[in-house]
Amino acid sequence: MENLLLSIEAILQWDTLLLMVVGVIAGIVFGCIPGFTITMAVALTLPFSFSLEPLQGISLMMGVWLGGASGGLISACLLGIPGTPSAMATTFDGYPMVKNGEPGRALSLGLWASFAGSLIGGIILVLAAPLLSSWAIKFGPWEFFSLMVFGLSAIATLGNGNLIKGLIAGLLGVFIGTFGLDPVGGAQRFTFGLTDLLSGFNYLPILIGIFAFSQLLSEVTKSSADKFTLDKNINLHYPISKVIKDLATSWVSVIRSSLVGTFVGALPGAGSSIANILSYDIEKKMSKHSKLFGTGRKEGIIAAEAANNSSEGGALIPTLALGIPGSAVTVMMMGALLVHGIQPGPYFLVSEPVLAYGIFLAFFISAIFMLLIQAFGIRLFLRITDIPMHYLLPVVLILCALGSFAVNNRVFDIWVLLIFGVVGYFLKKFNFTLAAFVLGVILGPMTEVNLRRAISTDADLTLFFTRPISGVLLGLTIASLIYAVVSEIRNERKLQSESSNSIKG
Amino acid sequence: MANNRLVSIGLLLFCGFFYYQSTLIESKELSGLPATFFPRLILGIIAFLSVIMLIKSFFVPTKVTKKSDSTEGKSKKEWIVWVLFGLFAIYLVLIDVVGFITSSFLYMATVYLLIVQQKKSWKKHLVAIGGLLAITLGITLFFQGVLHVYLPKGLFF
Repeated sequence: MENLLLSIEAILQWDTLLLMVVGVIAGIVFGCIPGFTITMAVALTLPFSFSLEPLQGISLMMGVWLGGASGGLISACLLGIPGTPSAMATTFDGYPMVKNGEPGRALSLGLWASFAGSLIGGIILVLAAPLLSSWAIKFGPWEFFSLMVFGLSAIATLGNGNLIKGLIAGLLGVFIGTFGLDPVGGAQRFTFGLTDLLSGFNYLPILIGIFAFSQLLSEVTKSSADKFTLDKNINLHYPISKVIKDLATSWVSVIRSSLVGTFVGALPGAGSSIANILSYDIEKKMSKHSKLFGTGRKEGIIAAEAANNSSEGGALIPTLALGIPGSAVTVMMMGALLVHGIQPGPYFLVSEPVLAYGIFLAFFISAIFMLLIQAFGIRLFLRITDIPMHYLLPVVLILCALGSFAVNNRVFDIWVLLIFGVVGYFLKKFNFTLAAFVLGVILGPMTEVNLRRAISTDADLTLFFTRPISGVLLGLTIASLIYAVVSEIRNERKLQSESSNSIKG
Repeated sequence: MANNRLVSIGLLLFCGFFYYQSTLIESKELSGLPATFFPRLILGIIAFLSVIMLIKSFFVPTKVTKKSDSTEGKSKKEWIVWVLFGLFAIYLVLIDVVGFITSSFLYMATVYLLIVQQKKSWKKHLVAIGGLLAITLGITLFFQGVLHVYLPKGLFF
């Protein structure tokens, strides 16, 4: 109780609240500009969090994250193109509803469903994270190793559908994590005589390079014909009482979608984009009016938006309780905590209770700010979608450089940004999962340390399978790999039969 | 599929190069596993998966999709990305010589002129470039004054 009061006191400081407001605004701005992503926005927030207290830094990132998730719905509804990948399914019914002459209703429903999803996801986070961490506190190096292998395999198999590429991306990340001094014996590995490489690659320039720098540059390839314009005089008014009535009559959809979103978010690698689509699909299948989906059904918007926001609460559960990030954004949040010397994982809730409660509170407060700011500032955000890329891109590129420099005050880290910008561009071009690569970079060193610690404690390799939790986790890893292999074989067979049919045709 | 073939070969070369580099690691096997074990294990698995991808590229068909106009436009514009990467490398070299403010302003102005798609009058370009200079100065002041991140200085400032 005392810790909770201390965290309430810390989070209610005016500067922390202000940072959350700024974060939510920045998130909505990034969310509503097609081509910019939430991950990109959070990556750019990283350098600003260095000079802040850990709770303030995380609060800022939380604001950006929640703001971004709901900001994506603006262009999804009004333009028919998702502002972020996690608003893809929102376009299915949001855009038709706008076309049917109800733009205010579409946006209000999306916004309030996002808010409800955030609240439900947040409540599950608060209940599940302590339970999971009290279970994981009994882990030894064998269990940690197996857990990390499971996390890496899950993110690779759930990624973009290509198992081999997902696994290779994750393993490449793990390999990059081996550069620098060996964590056990101190031997130099792949340093090429560079003193800057003795401590390995700092993962923050890698994150910014992979998620912001390379993505931004690939935006340049899009032609001006891809740009859309909005009618700024569109009537967006829709009474709150009607929105609440809409949500109340679809309360089953709200709860079901939020539960689906939270569950999907908690799976490593699944993230808000999958939650958004899966929840919409489930809602459509469960509905008595499934044929009307895609014509502007309110349940379609509710399912999509409640799920993508609730997935964020879900993604925080394994991040805080196990130290295994559930999504690309939580990888960065974990990175921000590591910069401050705080290690998320089973001991986090015990050793940093004030910070942990503060993070939970920041989640709820950011959700409230998201609702208020987006409801009152919608017209302003509509104007932001008008800013041309040739003004935004140079500025954001320089912010990427500055963010990387600020990590250690050395130009070497900006070179790391450039190198991993190129790597990210290649990975994306050849359909490798970016999130798997980055998770590999973060989890790789921890995986190695736990493997070597386990073996130096007892050289018996069968312990990885015979210790119950470790065995179950490795069993799950094998099961997820088998599942991915089977579904890939099915897809290939389908492709083969399609191509043979097209040849016959 | 040809792409996957190239990627597989590239990855195998990557694994070969770093396997050779791993032989140069001076590892003392004090207890348990040597320092070379983990990187070699990872390289081995990457190489194994690359070989599978290479073999699959000869047998498994991919979905044949009709190239859209926008995709064609995209490939035409891809050279810009490489120019921007190259310019960024030049920018990094310049930071040490002329400092953060000058090099960042030059980089932003060059990127702006390179990617601007509409034809504009020189006055409009001048205003935009002036805005970029103001942003450079604003960012510098914010990072140095508020975040206490001191940016590299060059020949002039």
